[in-house]
Amino acid sequence: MVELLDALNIETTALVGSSFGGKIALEVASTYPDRVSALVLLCAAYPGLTPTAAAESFDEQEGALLEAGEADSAAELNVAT
Amino acid sequence: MPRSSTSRPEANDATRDLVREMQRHAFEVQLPADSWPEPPDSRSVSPDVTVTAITATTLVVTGGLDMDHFQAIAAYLGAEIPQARLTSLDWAAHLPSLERPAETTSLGHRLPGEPVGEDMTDDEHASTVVHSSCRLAGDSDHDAQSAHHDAVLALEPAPFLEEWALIAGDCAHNTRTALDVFIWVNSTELPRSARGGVAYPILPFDPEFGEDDAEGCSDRLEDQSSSVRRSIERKIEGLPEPLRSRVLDNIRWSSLVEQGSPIWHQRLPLLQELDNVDKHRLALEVVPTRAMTCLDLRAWAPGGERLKIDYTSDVGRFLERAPNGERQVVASGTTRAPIARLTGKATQTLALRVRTLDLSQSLVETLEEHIDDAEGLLTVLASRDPAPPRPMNIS
Repeated sequence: MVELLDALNIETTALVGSSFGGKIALEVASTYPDRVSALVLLCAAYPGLTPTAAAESFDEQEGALLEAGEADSAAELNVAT
Repeated sequence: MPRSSTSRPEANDATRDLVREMQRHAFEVQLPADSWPEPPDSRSVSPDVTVTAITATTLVVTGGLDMDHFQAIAAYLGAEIPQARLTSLDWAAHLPSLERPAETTSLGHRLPGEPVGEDMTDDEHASTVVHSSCRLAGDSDHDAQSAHHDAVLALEPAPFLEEWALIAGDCAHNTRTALDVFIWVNSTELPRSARGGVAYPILPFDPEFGEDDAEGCSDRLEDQSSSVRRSIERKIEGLPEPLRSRVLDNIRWSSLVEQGSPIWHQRLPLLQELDNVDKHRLALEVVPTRAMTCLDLRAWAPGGERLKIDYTSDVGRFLERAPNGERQVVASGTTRAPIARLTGKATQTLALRVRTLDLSQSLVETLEEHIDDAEGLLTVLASRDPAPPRPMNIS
């Protein structure tokens, strides 16, 4: 992200991060606070909190499907949840 | 992506197709990437996130229909990021930008320093009002569009982060999280480093609590092998002792459990229900003296005039000194929907909630007299005297 900003000659920017993108936006905003003027986090992921039982169960199901090579079913799980 | 609710998100088939396609593509790209060699550049490693280091003005958005884990994250981020404001979209699941793109985009305009969007007046922008949708079940006059901005939550910057978290949790229609934070804050002045050790909501939603068996519920809480006890312990296992024991004690001695029977098992499912269904709830008060947890009401009169039915302040002025010197935190929301337009069932629901969460038996009895009489109910509520906090026996 920061290299991209450098390449585009952008000193500071507003960041919007959704879901896992929220985690990335958090990383950038906390590691390079001077580069981020505003931050919008939409249903952001964050590794610092222990997953709830529901989240753990979802991760397990998704992991098992991907392990079995069933990407279509894993995608379907995401849609249905 | 995940959500946890009995309500349905608004995503239509086209939106679901988009998610399916996006997710399948992501897996197709990610799965082979797992076997790639690590890139040599160390900057590609995910850095630790120190949220307190963030200086950006931040808007934390959470979906009321999203999975509980993401709602807990939002409550945490809203409390911990120094310049953060939290807003909850009760219509949203995990991907609000797909569900209502225009509205989600306009959220960013509410950040100070950002350009004022065309959808907002300067006045709106100057205020700290955060709009949240609030639809009234059983109120057929409200279609999705007109109800869209009917609920206005005014969120002032909080003087204390902990209180802000409490407010945010409530305004997010996440009463259980508010209670969790209440328990959390009450447990101790936790060091920041310890705060990541809890998974919210701490209090489990367990069908066992719905049974009419107060003693049995207490026993289950005490029984170290019960599912309820194990669920709570799992969620706080990241806490070091003695903090973990204090949190447990706080749950054990909280007003949910303590104020006589049958309380604990009735209130918990109710709070869960408030979370998902009850958009009639207009305010929740939580007094972190552990004295009580009660429901308070605000409403708009049929002419649009705002009624104050509570014993505290305007929305947003949530931190006060109660007359007895106890610290009092008030979280509230408002709706323009006149109570008189609520259906009989909804009115009944309101009264039921007052009864289950409230402290004043006389008020409950009066409300029951007016259960089918909306005008009478309004009069009663408007003339209600403040109820003082009831002290509890806390060792």
